[in-house]
Amino acid sequence: MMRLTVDTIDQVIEVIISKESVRLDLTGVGFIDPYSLLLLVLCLRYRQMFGSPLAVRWPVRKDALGWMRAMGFFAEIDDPKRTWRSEASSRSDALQPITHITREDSVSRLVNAFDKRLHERYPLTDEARNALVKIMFELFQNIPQHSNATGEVSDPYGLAAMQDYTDSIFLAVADMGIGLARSLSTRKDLMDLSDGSALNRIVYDGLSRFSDPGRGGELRRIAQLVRRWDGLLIIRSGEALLYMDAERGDIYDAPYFPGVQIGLRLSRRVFGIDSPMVDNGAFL
Amino acid sequence: MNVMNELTFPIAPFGVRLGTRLEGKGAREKLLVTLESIPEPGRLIVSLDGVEVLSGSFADETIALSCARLATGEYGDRYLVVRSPSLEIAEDLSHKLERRHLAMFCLIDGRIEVLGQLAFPMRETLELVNKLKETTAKELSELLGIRHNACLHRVGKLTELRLIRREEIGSAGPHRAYRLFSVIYT
Repeated sequence: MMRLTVDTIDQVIEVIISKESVRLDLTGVGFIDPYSLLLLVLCLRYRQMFGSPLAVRWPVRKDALGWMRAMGFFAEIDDPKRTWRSEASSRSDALQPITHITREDSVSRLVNAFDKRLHERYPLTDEARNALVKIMFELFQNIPQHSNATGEVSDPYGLAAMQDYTDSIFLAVADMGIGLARSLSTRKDLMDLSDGSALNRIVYDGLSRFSDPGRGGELRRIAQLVRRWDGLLIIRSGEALLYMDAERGDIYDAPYFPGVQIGLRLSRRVFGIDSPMVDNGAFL
Repeated sequence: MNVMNELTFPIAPFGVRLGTRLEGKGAREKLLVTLESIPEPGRLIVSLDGVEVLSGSFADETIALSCARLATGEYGDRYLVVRSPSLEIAEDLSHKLERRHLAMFCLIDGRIEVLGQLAFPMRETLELVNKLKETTAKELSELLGIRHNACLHRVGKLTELRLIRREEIGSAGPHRAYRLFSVIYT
C-alpha cells in the first residue's frame, strides 16, 4: 500500500508538475494525510491552469477513495469555483472537509466551524482547544493577508482541512499564492532571499513582510508550540521545505510548487484525549 | 493628590474568541475613542473578562498598537491597563508588547503583572513607585541606592512607557524636579 504523507507527497508533486507527465497513477494509494490531500488538489488545479490536465487513476481501495470523497476532494477538483462548505460529512471518519479561505472577514467563522467539529467529536481540554483555535486564527488569516501581498495572483484563495487519527490530530492549510520569499521581497532589505532563507528567517527570526515589529512572529510561535507539544510541523514554500519535530527542525530542498503549504500534526495527548495507540491509519 | 479618572473598555463584546487583525482594527478604533473621552489624568482599563482566546494578531492590532500610540504622547496624560482573568489569556499580548519594546500593567485577580518587555532595574523602580504610590526621583534614588541621574533615566523610561505618571514641580539644581505617581494605586 502506498501512503501519501508529508514524507512521500513530494515524489508525486514532481510527477504532477512535470510538463512531460500525462498520467498519474494513484491506484496503489491506501492512505492520504490532509497535507497531501490539499497539495494534490492544488497540483491538479495547477495543471488545469496551464491547460494540461492529467489523466489520474484513482485509488482502488474503497476506504481511501471514500475518505477523499468525504473530504470533498472530488467536488473540489471538479468544480474549483465552489464556495466554502462546512456541512458535517455523512462519513464519520472525515473530520473537517476541504474548506476555502478567501477573505479575512470569514476567518472567525471558519475557525469556529473547525473547532466545533473537533469539539463535537472529543471533549477537549479548554487549554488545548484554545491553543489550537489561536493557531488556526493565525494560519487562516495569513492567506488573505500575505498570499497575494503583491497583487499578482489572479484568483487568490487558500484551502484548509483537518483529520483525526488514532494517535494525532492533523491540520493542513495550503495556498498557491506568492510564497514566503516573494512576500518578504516586498521589503527592500529582504529582496533577494531564496525560498530556504525566507523560510528560515520567518520561522526562526519571526520576520514578516512588514518592518513594523508587532507584525510577524506567528509562525515562530507556532513552531515553538509544536516543539513543546512533541508535534510535527511541515512548511513548504517554493523550493524549500521545513520539517520540524520535537528534536529537530531542518530545511530541505523540494520540487518547486507555488505558494505556502502547512501541515501540523499534534498528538491526541495534547488535547487530553486518552486513546490506545493502535495503527489504524495512524502515523506510527 | 493622585486622583485619576477611569473607564473600563470590555473586549468581550467583540467576541469571546478574538483572532484576526481586521477585527482587532475595528476594536482599536473604538478603544482609542473611549480613551480620548476620559478627562486627564485618565486611565482606561481594557478588560479581557469573558474572553476565551486572544490571538497575537488581535492583541497587537487592538491593544499593543494603542499602547504604542499612547507612548508617543498622542493621548496626553492618559494610561492603559489590562485586566485579565488569567495570565494565559494575555500571553500573546505580552509577546507582541515585547516585540514592540513596550510594557503594560495587567491586573489578574488582585495581583499586578507587567506584560511585555521591562528590564529588572525598571521593574524594581516601578514596584517601588507602586508601593509608595507617590514619590520623587530624589526619594527613589535614595531608596534604590542609585545615582540621581540613573534614577532620572529609569523614571524617564517608565514615564515614556506610560507605567508611571510624572508631574514637573520645579527644578532642583541642574535637574528638573518631578513628582511621581503610581498609575495603579491612585
